[in-house]
Amino acid sequence: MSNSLKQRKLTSKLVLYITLLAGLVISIFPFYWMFVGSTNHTSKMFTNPPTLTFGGQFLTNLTNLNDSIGIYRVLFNSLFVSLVYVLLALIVNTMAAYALSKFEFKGQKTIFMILIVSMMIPYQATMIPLFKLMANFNFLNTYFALIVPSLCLPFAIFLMRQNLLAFPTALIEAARIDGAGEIRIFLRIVLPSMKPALAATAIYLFMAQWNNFMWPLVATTSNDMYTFPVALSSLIGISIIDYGQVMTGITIATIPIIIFFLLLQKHFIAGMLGSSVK
Amino acid sequence: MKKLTSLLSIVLIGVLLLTACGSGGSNGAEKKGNGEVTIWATNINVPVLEQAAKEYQKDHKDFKVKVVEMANDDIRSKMVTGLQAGGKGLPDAALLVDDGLTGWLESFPNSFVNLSEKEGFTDITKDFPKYKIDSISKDGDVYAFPFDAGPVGVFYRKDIFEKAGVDPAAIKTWDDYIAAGKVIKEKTGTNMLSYDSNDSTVFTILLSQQGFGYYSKDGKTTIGTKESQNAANVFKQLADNKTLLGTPGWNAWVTSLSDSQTATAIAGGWLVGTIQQQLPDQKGKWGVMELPAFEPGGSQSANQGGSSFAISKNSPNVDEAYDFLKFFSTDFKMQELAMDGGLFPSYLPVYESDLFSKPLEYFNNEPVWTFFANQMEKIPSVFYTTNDNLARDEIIKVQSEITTGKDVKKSLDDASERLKNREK
Repeated sequence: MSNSLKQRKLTSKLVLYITLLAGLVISIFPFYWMFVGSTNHTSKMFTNPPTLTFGGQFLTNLTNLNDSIGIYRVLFNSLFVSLVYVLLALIVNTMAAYALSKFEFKGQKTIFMILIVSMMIPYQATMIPLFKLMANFNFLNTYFALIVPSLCLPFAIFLMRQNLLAFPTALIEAARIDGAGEIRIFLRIVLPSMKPALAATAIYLFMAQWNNFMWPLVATTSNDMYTFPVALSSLIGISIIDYGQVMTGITIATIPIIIFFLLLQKHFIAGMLGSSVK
Repeated sequence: MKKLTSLLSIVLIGVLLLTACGSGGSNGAEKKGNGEVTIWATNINVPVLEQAAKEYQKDHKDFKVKVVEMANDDIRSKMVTGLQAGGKGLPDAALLVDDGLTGWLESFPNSFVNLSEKEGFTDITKDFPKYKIDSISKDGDVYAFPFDAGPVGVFYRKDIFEKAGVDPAAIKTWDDYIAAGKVIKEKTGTNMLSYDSNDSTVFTILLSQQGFGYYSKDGKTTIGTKESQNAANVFKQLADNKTLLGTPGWNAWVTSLSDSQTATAIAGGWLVGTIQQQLPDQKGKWGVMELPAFEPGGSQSANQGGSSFAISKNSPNVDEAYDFLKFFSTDFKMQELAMDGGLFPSYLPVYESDLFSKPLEYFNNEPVWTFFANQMEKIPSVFYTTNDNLARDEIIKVQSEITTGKDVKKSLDDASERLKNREK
């Protein structure tokens, strides 16, 4: 009896692990393929059976890539744009969310509804007017044009608002009675307990900006203002594509996201666990 | 409240600082008449243009050029955005694919400089093949400097043909080609043709070989005509013999070449560069021959791809751009430079150059470029329109229908019906 139970437990565990392993392979393989591609000559991408071993071409690919897009400048552009964007967008969106969740004023619900509805407008519909606006202000090809237009992100406001709603209003009122100013309450009382939510939002904002392609593509007009996705796309020729360079570029472009995620992961996961115990 | 205002102002100051450091980067075309010519071009064109500019600067000390590298699809997105925004943010000049340019000339009139109005331009055009000039003209006026071209050939695997005992020189018509495909499949198990089934390039080539694009000049689609049936029948018969391999996308197509899954590939001369780069191991195995004709003695030439330089009408540097591009397009040495950089020029006089008679090691020391140069004047003119991309989209469906058993005539007629509902 107990033996067969043990056996059944073992089989179910085995099935579980095999499924997990399959999932692991499926999610890891594209990254592995990326590394393989970045260390091989472009012709190795097209062999059958596929090349699955690392080659010795990484430095050659890296040099070629640097010659064609200028890695340092592009990396700087992407990092600068993304980090400044995350910082400013966090400030703007968190404050908006705070106002929409903890202050009662006329039109509060309407404003929130408008923000949510605006999420449904496809980006393509607003791109050309926005482009015209930036062109008329002579802001094309500047960091301003890359960062500012998307600073107010309804989804980020929504995410922060949901978290702020769970924050006990009584604490804010108590602080007010104790004589704390509104800024002080926001910075000292509310924000510290919002760390997990802020981390999640920051990761989301960083990924959105780091991977953003369409807007940086139309808003930049010279190679020295390209962000990583745009620069990588410029490697694609009509009949000549060097996949060694492309894969090396993608590898480099992936690293900052991983670092950023690892840095904030602690808060992020703490947030998920924290809410589960409540 | 006071504190809130101060915090707000700090944020605002931060934003303003951003603007300041942002505009430190050069603004390119936006500044009026700074004399720097901005040109958008795809990857291998960039070094060629930059080197040409260096040559040009020897006689024109004040000339400055900025070549911005981007993918062809990106040039298209950016051009359309700029054109829709009323010509804002466009470069002084851009290297545009010929089959897309005519559509823009239709949809956005007055956006590009009419070069025929410039003095002496008409004299230039006689140095280019007629089909090329036609493909960048509207109502008899030329709107771009012709540059590279894609004369089509049938690339074939010598080793596979030999193994099957098929003589490529004996293939004169598409019927011969289809019959040869059957023999090759029986003897070697290899498909005769692999094509990108997510695209309509081969169909387009078969149509343009007969002198047609997707529309005739009276605005009627050519889908459903006798010529389109000819083209579709090639697909149909190859598929019926199980000698046709459709691959989903460009990368899969290149893989099918690399993996020797096909005995032939039909493409513009640019494929020479692609296979040398991607299939170095197949050195010595490839040859090139003319397209088979639809009837004995019929046309065996077509063009696929090719691009030209158009100048934006809004550009503050029209004259500078015009003079430089005129120099670049009609200078023997500059076009040799382009050829050396992997681009096949359409400037006829340059075919005298040694670069074209040079034997190519990859192709068993055959002078492949002479073959393509000889094609240029035989290529029939084709008419492009703004609706071509819709027609191509319908042809992709036709390709999949007829290769899975649907009747050719029925499939084409249905496509032509669907197309009528989608036309702009």
